[in-house]
Amino acid sequence: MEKESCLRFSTVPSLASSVHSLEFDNVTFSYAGSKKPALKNVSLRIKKGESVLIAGPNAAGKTTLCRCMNGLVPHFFLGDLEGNVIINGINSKSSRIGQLSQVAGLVFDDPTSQLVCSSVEDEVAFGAENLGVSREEIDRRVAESLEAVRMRGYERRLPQTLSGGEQQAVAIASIMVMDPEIFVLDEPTSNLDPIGSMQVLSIIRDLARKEEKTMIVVSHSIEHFVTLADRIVVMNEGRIILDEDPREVLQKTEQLLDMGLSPPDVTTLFSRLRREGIGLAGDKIPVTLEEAYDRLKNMSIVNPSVSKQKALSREKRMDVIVRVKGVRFKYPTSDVFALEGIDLEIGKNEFVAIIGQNGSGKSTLVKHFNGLLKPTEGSLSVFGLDTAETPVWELSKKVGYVFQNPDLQLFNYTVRNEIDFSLKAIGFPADKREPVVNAVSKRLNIDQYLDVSPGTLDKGGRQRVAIASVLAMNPDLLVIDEPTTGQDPANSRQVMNIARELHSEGKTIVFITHNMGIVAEYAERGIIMLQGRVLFDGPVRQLFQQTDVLKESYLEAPQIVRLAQMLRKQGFPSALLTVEEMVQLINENRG
Amino acid sequence: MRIFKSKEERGSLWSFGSIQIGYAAAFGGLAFAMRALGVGVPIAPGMLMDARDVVSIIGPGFSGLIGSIIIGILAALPSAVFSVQIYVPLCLMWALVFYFFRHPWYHVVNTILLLTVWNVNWAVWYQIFGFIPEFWVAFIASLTGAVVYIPTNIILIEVLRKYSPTAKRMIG
Amino acid sequence: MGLRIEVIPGESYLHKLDARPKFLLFLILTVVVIFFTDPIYVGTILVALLLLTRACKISVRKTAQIVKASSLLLVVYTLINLVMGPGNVEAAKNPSNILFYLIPTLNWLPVTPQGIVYSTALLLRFVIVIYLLQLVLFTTPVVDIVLALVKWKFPPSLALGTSIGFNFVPVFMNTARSIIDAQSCRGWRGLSSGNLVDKLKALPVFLVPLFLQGIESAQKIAVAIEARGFGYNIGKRTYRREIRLNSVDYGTLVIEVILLAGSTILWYAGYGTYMFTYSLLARMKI
Repeated sequence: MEKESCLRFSTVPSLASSVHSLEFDNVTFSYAGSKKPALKNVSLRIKKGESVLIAGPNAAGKTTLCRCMNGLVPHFFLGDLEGNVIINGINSKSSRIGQLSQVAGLVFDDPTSQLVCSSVEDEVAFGAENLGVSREEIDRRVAESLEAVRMRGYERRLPQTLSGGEQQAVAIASIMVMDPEIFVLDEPTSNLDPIGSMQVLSIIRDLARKEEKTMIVVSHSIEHFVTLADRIVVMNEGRIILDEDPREVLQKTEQLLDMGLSPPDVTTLFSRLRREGIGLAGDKIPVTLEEAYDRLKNMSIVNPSVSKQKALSREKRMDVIVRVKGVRFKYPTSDVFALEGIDLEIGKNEFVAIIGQNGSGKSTLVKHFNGLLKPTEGSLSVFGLDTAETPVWELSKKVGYVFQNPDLQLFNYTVRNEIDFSLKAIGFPADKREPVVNAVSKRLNIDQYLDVSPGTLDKGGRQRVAIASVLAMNPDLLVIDEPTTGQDPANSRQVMNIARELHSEGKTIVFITHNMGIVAEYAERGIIMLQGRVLFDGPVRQLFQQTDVLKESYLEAPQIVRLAQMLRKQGFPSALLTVEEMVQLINENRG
Repeated sequence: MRIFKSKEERGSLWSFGSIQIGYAAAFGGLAFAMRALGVGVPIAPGMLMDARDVVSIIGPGFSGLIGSIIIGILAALPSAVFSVQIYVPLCLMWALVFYFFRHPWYHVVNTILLLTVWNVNWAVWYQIFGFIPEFWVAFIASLTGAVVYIPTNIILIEVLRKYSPTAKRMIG
Repeated sequence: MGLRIEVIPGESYLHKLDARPKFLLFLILTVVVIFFTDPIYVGTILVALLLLTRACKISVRKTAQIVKASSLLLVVYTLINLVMGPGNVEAAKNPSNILFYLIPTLNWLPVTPQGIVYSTALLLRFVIVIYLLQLVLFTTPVVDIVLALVKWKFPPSLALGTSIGFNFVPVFMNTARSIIDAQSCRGWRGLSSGNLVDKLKALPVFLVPLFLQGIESAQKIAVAIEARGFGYNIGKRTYRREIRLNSVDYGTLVIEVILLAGSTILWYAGYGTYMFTYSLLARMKI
């Protein structure tokens, strides 16, 4: 595609001479006011047109690395930058962000805060306007960018009314309009539902393959990028630990798992098998579904032991604690019913997962359980209390609701006060509060932080404080709203493990998630929702076999389940759920 | 007993880059949203003490002098009565307070200004709009607002400073 | 609840009018309306406005909700003017003019027909101003306002900063609601329960997370606009949309000038005071 030259403030040197788009030359960086360096001796070279995946646990320095790539570090985020970052031949220290933004564009994880204008076309044009591009050129570029991200026709829409995936597409378009060579995307899909993720992934694929742009993506979902990335760079504690071809990096599965990363299920599977002493033809661990299938297709399984149903199929539920009867719900500002007639029951000590795209009604339904929303039609009773008649603070004694964003709740000077707050609010007498605070904080591993401000903790810590303040009220039903969205795998697991512990103590857990792997691992019962209706409600093992329903909701079973389904002819039970079960199965059958 | 900020602590009075715009837009938007939602303390049936007045005192500390104009405009807009001319000068004043005074002295200055200038401003405009013709009646009526804002403000600023190191760095 | 800053889509005269003559229209009508204290004169202007609203295919009721939202204010305003208005005070000196007292037992606050006429006019004036403001906002997108301000040599950073602030209002409204929901789940009773002290104690529970979210959003906004080159060379910034005055705009400007000139003349000549209606009514022996 021939692009006309546009009005530029300074000529960016052409790339004919340098082969590398991006060079980090022994870079060490500490943010102002912080003693601990965020990046330590980082050296990295990225060629023009390469696609690189950057992975690592929380606080590994991935975001800081991205910020170096367009000059935000050190010009916006002040601090001490040692070493050099060279972007397309320009040293970031001696140029301004405005110049560098024409070479490297950044997209962030939170779509809503990136979009600042009142219409999509203004939003996309914003960057070009800043660069002083002429009006006709702006119109042309806006049209092209919207075409490239498949958002033609959305020009007049308000960015805040778009879905998460659409918002990220607009964000990418608004970077494209500045015509950069390098695209840096910092966790672009972590806040999106599966459809949104698919939308963004296909845009990334197009940019990498068709436009041959240099793509740098930070993400936790390694599975999606294995075939797309030319390299995977693994970071931890500010350093680069691994920097190789994806296949090579994934061979070091155990190391990745120890750091808290989530390699593809098939890789984890074969790595475990290898540890058990089972080498299955070939010395390299497979990294894609197809490769795994090839290795296993000659096996045959007899006597599958995966018959232990995690969920008891109940015809009659004992101890129903949540009864939903004919509930329909409409938000006051909308004409559309968010819930179109829900009938279900949840019994004591169940572990339920609710899944579905954004807008399917999951959160809406679950907010009825503690009275945050009252049904427009129908009735809901929780622990025998009619939610329409009982105020939220009363129901909160029985139903604990853990929000996705802990920062919406925390406001006290100390963690102790934070946990104490809920107890005070529900009228706990003063002398009884302290032992509860101590017990809960110990359980959640935050007792050493009791006298510190919650703001000084990292996201995982703050999440635990928020959970502590809910658990202190000792609710019998715990609702967890999207513990996986926007979190790194280690933190999500932490929350789910707490849930599992509570479940084993007799509590009932209901959680919402987009992460099918977590559903397979933790839940006993799964409910799929679409457009306000329940499409499926049953044991998790059956859930992943409902290929039609999953397809209709644009959901995908976890990779290991899909592998088992592909190997049905070989005798693998399609009700298989986790890597551990697969390992056990193969172990038992290798004789 | 250093009351005034040193030259380095102040930064530039007229600086108006992306950071100031970010804070001005965020706090201005907050002020608008508070009024639009009707959030505040109802101190008497029909009289709502607005949370946006709290935002317009704290916001200018983050966004600098020019940014405070934005906060003033946005805070004033959601009233039926044209009040831009009240909010913008007030916001400018608060911006100057945070620019010149150190913590905790700006609390003292804020309190004094709330009881005097803020009150007088409101009383005068109550008069001009013809609500309460007597100046002193208006003065006492808006004094009730000041009595609510002073402790709320102090507590909010203290908590923000303790909780968020960014906040501490920006307003001192 | 208050002034609605949203645009009702449409292709009418007001929609197509450039933002600058529109705002001038608002200012000029506000001034014109101050010239007159007679309900019939002012009422004519109001009727013209209502007809304009219908002609632009905008719902009168929707525009009038700002009036409804300000009803308490309007009532107080009217009562005060009723009693304290110059006409009333003058006329009340002659006891035969007095119709009734607002506080009958003590014979305080007399009300005369002149007073009623006068305060009606003032009420209508107020209504016109806020109604017109809402009407203008319904037909002018924020972008146009920003462009108009830039054309008037307003610093672009200021105009853009304000428009970004506007655009984040719905985001913050959602955040505020989420905070109220989230805190209720911890047993918090909300902002309106209990006595005054309880309500004051409840404020930080709501305001602190809100402010912290504000700080976070501020950072993200700043990074987002900086990463897209904002402020790089603000003097040479271009704009995708161009606003230009066309013949309809110039025509409107001419009408505005005529309105202003005409009203000034009328006022100077002594027309349009409440005496007009009053004498009409007196002649009809009311």
